[in-house]
Amino acid sequence: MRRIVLACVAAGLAGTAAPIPAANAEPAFGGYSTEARSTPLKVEVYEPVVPIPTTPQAELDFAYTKVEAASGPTGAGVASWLWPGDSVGEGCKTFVEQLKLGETGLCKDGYPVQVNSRTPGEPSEQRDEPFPGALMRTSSDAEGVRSTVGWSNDCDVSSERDEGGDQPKLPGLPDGPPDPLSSLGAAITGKDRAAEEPGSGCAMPKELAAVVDFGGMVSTSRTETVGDTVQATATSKLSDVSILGGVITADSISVTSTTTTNGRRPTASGVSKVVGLELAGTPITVGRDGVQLADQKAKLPDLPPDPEKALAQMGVSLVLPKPERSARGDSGSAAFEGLQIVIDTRPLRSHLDDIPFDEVTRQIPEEELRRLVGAATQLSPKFVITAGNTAAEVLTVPKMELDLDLPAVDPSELNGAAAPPASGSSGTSGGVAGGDAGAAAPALDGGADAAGDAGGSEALAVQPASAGLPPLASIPGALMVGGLVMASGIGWWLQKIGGLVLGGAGSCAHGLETGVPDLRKA
Amino acid sequence: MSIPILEVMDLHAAYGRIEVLRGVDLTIPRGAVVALLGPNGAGKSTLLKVVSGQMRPTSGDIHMAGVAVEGASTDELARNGLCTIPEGRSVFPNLTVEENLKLVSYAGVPADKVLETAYRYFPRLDQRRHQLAGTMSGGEQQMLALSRALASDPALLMLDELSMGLAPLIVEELYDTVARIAETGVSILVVEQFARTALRVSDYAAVMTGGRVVATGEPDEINAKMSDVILGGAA
Repeated sequence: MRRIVLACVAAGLAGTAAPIPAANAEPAFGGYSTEARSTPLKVEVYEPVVPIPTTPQAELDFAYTKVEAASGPTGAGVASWLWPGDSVGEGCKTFVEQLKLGETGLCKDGYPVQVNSRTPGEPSEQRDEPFPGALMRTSSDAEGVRSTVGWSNDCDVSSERDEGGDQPKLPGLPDGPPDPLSSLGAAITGKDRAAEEPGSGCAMPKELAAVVDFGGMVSTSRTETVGDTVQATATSKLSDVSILGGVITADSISVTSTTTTNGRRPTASGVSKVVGLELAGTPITVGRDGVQLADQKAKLPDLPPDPEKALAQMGVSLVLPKPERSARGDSGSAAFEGLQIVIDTRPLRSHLDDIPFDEVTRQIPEEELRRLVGAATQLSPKFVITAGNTAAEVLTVPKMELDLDLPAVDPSELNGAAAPPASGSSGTSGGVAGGDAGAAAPALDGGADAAGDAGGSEALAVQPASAGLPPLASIPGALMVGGLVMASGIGWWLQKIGGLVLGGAGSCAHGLETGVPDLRKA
Repeated sequence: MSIPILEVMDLHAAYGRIEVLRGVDLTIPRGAVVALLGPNGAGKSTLLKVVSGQMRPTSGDIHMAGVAVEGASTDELARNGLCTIPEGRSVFPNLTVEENLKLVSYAGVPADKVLETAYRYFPRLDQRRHQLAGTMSGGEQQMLALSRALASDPALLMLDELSMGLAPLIVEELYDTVARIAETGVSILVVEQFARTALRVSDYAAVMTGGRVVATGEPDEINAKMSDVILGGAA
């Protein structure tokens, strides 16, 4: 399994390092914006009792990557092996201040467990290996933005660590052992796992692994412009998935969303593969008909024969989310997800109602503590675990066509000599609309030299024939003068009409037209 | 007989539910000086406000040069030759005499003509042309207000309490000027609480009390008829 995990990580990282071909073709669109994001494992906790003004009330995205790019080009990438959702990740500083933890310095410079890149600007590339087995990398340049996170849960160290030289420090993290996962575990459990169990810092905390665990994962998000095409791709790969302490397992889950467009035809595609899905060690399938045993003759050990009912007893349901695709007009979007596991603890919570919690909490002397414990006994959160979560979107706007009817310059009129043959370097014909103009225009670089020195200088002195006013004696001149006379007549007429309509609102020196007589004259 | 420049017929006006003018009838012949007399609270100043368009009548007719002008705006009336000098003079205290006068030029009268007219009627203003109006005496401020009115070439000039707060000698001087203005053909309505000086320069007089005109006639006739009680003991 370690080989599979390492292969996934290596493949993901190698993909990001591949050079992107330079764009030569002229795109059909005038501008674009694109976004891709991926997280192989997303855990959402819904508990309305918890006074957190977000929905879900808590979120953990493992191996989160996100890239954004737009014409300019501008772009930004984020990669985080543990992303607490956009509300906390983006507003980390505010969140910490609300918890009155501002003195700790956490989130002083933003959410600490992430690497960022942007273009234009710095850093254009950032990478980090916060603990053995976890890699975060992102880079941005004119051709595209790429973000990757690889995470092996068996603590294997990738060879990538030796290539990067000095690793950039994560923003906001104090100096010391760079082991945020251990710190997270210690914060949750109150114990320093790394100190107790040397070498266990890379693994999932036991408390979280009881709900969901995995062997390794790779998340890649990238946007790029290739030739006349903009492409956004998000990929999530996950191996050795174990949910609810191994009740539900899967060998691998792979999800990809891809959108492309050349400004004329957008495409949106994706693929979602779940391999080796088992319930209590028995192979199952999940489809439109719900959860079924792969082998109809097989039986679930110590569980009802219907796997869906067996799961329902535990408050668990398995769902294959319906992929969303859209490719219309100038835009395309795709959102594919792998397997979704919903764990509702309310059925379990109902069994606890027989316990007289109220009697117990009433014995607590401290009122604040009594209130907290009482509230905790009422919690029944719902967990939504999405294995494989990708989305990609591209949007273009049409190019503005300027219909300028500029005359093509005939070389024979410039220097009186025969035009040199077009050498094919039509790149010098910029600003002249139409393909014919490109062919007819002289190749000033080489052609002018062949025709003599005069060619180049005279060519620069040529002015467009449409500049300046036309001669008065000409037909355009007569039209212009006629137009001015007509405009003056219309203006005079409008002034009179305005005076009539407004009933004397115009200036009136003696007011005789307004109804009040001029006392000086009357 | 020519058409009077102002004719008010059965004019009523009220401040809310309090009726101040209760059927006023008044006529000002063209080129005449009419003194409108009466005790405090008789409705004299209200009548000027209604005639000059600052206040709407509740009923009645106002004719100027034979044309009904009820509802006409203040600026429209002013543009057509009606000029009012309100009680309290209303000069710009932080502007000099000359600047106060030049402001009239914005109504279309050349500044030179404004200054020439003002200094001709009141040579004292010429001496104080650079003095701030607020630092002058009450009489001088009243002269300035009259000068501004004259600069607008009025056909009907309405003066509200011209003598208020002024020394008797200054009042005499001002009314001498009023007489000179009247000689140029300007019709003048003088509203006064204290009648003696006003009657001296008037062609006609009317007495108001309780929101009505209770007596009209020649100045001597009015002076003989009206008791000291009605005229506040000043007649």
